[in-house]
This record gives sequence, C-alpha cells and structure tokens, in this order.
Amino acid sequence: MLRTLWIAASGMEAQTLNIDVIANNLANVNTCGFKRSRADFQDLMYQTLRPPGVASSQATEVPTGIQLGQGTRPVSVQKIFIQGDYQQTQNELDLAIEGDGFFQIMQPNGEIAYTRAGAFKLDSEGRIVTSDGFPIEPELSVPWDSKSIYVGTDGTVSVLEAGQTEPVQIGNIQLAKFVNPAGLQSIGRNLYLPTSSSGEATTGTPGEDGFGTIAQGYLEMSNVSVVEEMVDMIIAQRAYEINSKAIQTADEMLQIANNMRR
Amino acid sequence: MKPSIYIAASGALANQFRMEILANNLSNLDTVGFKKDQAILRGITPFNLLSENLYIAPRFQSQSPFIVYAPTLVVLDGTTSDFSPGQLKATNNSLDLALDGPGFFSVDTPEGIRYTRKGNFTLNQKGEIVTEEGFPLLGEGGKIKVGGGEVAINSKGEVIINGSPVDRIKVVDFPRPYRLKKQGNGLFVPLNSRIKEKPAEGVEVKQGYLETSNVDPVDTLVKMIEVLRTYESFQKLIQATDESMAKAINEVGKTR
Repeated sequence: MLRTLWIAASGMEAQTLNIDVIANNLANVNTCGFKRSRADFQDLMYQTLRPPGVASSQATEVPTGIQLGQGTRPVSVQKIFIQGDYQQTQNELDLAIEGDGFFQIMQPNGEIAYTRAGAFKLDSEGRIVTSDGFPIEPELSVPWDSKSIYVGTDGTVSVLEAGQTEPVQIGNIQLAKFVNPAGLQSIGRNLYLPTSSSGEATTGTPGEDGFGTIAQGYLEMSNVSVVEEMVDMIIAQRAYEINSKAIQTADEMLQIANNMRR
Repeated sequence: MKPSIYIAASGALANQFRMEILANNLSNLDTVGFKKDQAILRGITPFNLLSENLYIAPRFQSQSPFIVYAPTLVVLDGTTSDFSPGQLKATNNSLDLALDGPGFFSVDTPEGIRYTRKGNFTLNQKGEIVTEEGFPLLGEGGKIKVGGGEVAINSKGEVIINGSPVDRIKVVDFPRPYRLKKQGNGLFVPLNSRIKEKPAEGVEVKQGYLETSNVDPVDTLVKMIEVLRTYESFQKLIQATDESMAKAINEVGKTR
C-alpha cells in the first residue's frame, strides 16, 4: 500500500518537472533564437514478484508472472532544434540562419559558445558583438566611418565607407554545425556549449556542405508555439491531479485498514 | 478460525496489488510508448483450508452429498501488459518516430536486443540514432549512422540522408498474444529464447510523431474507485466475521 503512495508521488514529481519545462518555454516565447525544451519520461524498473516465463513444471511455464511497476522518472529534457519563424526587422545587423548551423561567439573566458540568436550590435571598437558584448568569432571589425554593412547569404561581410562608392569586404561569418545539436548544453544568454554527446563543432561557409544561409535584416524568433505549450500544460496539470487522486485513494485504503479492528 | 476472515484478507490484499498497478499506470500517463498493465486475479482453494472446511451443507444432504462449500481465496496470479496502441501526437521533430500498427523498434542494449515502441530517438556524438539512454536503434544493417545531415524517414522505415537511402529501420513483431515482459525504460524482452522475432506486417513508421501512453485516465479513475470500494467491502467482511466470532466466544456460552 505504501508502494502506491510512492508510485503516485513519482508521477506527481514528473509532472512538476514537466510544468517547469513548459513554464520556461512560455517565458521565452519572445526570446530570439530560443529553442523549446521537452521533458521526456519513462517507466521505472519493475519489481518482479513472480518471474514470467519460468517453468511451472517440466512441460509448462508461467505465462504472465507478476511484475509491479515502480512509477515513472524523467529521463531527459531535450532541446528541440526545429526552425523558428523569421521576423523581418530591416536592421542591418540582425542575422538569421536559414537552415542548420550556429554563430560562433567568443566568451570573455576564451571559450567559444554557439548561438542561433542573430541580434548583433556594434561595440565602441566597431566589433560585431552579441547583446552581451561578446564578439563574433572570427572577429569582425567595422570601420568607424562606415555608412552601411552588407552581409551576403554566404556570410561575406562588406561595408560601404563614407565617400566611397564601392563596398569593401571586411571578412566572413563562419557557421558551426554539430552531429547531435540536441546534446548541446544550454548556458543561458541564448548560448550553447558543446558536450561529448553533441560532438565537436565543424565549421564552414554558410550555404555550403549543408550549412544554412544567412539572411540579413531578419531575426529567428523563438520556436515555442503558445498553443502547443498550453495544451501540454493542461495535460500536465490533469496528470498531476489524477496522480494526487491515486494518493488520496491509497490514503483512504490505509484508513480502512486501520479501522478494521474496532 | 473461520476461513471467511482469510478470504476477506486475501481479497483486500489482491486489491492492494490492483491499486499499485493502477497507480503505476497513472504515473506513466505521460510516458512515450508506455503500455498499461492489468492484474489477473485468480481464485484458489488451498488444500489445508479445503480439508478442514469441506462442509456438506446439511440442507442438501438428502438430495446430493456433493454440494460442498469450499473456501476460495483471491490471489494476484499475474500481470499482463495491454498492447493496444496509444494515440499519435505530432511533434515535428525529425527523430521522433511512431509505429502506426503492430510492431516494435529493436534497440541494442548492453544486456542484449530489446524491443520498444518508445520512439523519441536522438543522436549520439558518432551521429548514430539512439534512444535517450544511448542505446542504438537497429536497422537492417545494424546501427543507423546518419551523421549531421537532414534525416528523412519514410513510411517503410527507410532512412534517407540528403536524398540517398542509407538503411532501413528494423521493425519486428512477435506471435500474438505477445509474450513479452517489461524491463523498465519502455523496453520489452521476450519471456524466453524460444520466442522469435519476425518482420512486422501492416505497420508504418511515422516521422515527426510520438506514440503517447495508452493509459486512459477516466477508465483508470473508475477502476480506482472500484478498487477502493471493494477493499472497503472486504474490511466490512472482516469486521462482521470478527463480530460473529466475538459473539460465539463471549455470548454463546455465557452463564447468567
């Protein structure tokens, strides 16, 4: 009987985690380049009171046996890297990746992080940086007297300097790709770090070898769908509720057992 | 002792097991590819109870000496999984696969090949399709390596990378009724080595879909109420037996 309480409690805990993940997705519904997460669950090990398939005599065997499940557990919170919608912004440093790939960002600690959030800015030295001021890798510096910046679909960055009529190329944006993007570690600020499960980054030119192309003046929005999250939230809440009913029932049964002897 | 008190106790215990199974089903309401369990109850007449209590009802004695009262205990005889399909849920995730029809995916675990309908696969760092525990999904040619390319999987289970097929997902089936036991983590294993897999028929692989748990919350709630009230009836039976024994001991032989 106590087992029932723990089994149902595992279900309630799982749904709590589910709601946490959904809440984080909903909180980031307007975060550019955000990828939604999904909590996945699996059944816990089974307690075998009578093993199925053992011989019950020379010629016969137990057909079913008794296996009691021990509840559920969260197994992973997986990032879903499907494409988000594009939003046209007209801003020349808003870059979106159409297809696979990540921008490479140099963190202050010298480690390269990866992102799909393409809302870049210029810092006081003219470097192209993220909203946190981390420069894009390889570093790109825009001359202070530039009038406009052009980014080609293949990542070529050119600027039109004051008094000039021809744009000058100042460098290239390179993208990075992973064998298993779902294995990347999120570190906040829209950034990801590689792990042993994601594999090492391979870098390349946008538009080649399966890398996506770059669209200037567009931002990739969050891939969270509010309707989908809402439906998931309703399901999670009801699943939580129904598991609490199992606990209530178990509690009532214990009470009945206690009242057996008057 | 009256056997009815044991009968009632056995019924109460059997319903405790039923409750545990229902609670496990409910806690896996949101587990991909989960198959609900059912309890099989059985009535048994233990030999010692039979010999002590074999009782020929006097009323019938003249007509038939064979009408007997044999106390029957209720025990949990076994658990079986209900393999009815769960609903398919669209996720648009390219490595979420659902089987539309009977069959199982084969995965290579350290303990051997296991079978599952849990289709939320992912990739490992070598670019192979694996389960969330990292067990490789098996194709006709072993592990399925997709690298970093765009993965398309058609309804026959053929894995197509950048336009060219690389392998076919192995979907297998077993003779019905399924004689598989659960191992946890959504994995099934045949009861013994004599049960052989065979190629699945009439099944489609659907990319971007997941099979949800086949637990029906309403049905489970109703069963839960039934278990609770049955449990209560057995309690009343125990109380009544206790009372009648108390009467027999304290009142029948009472001298005033």
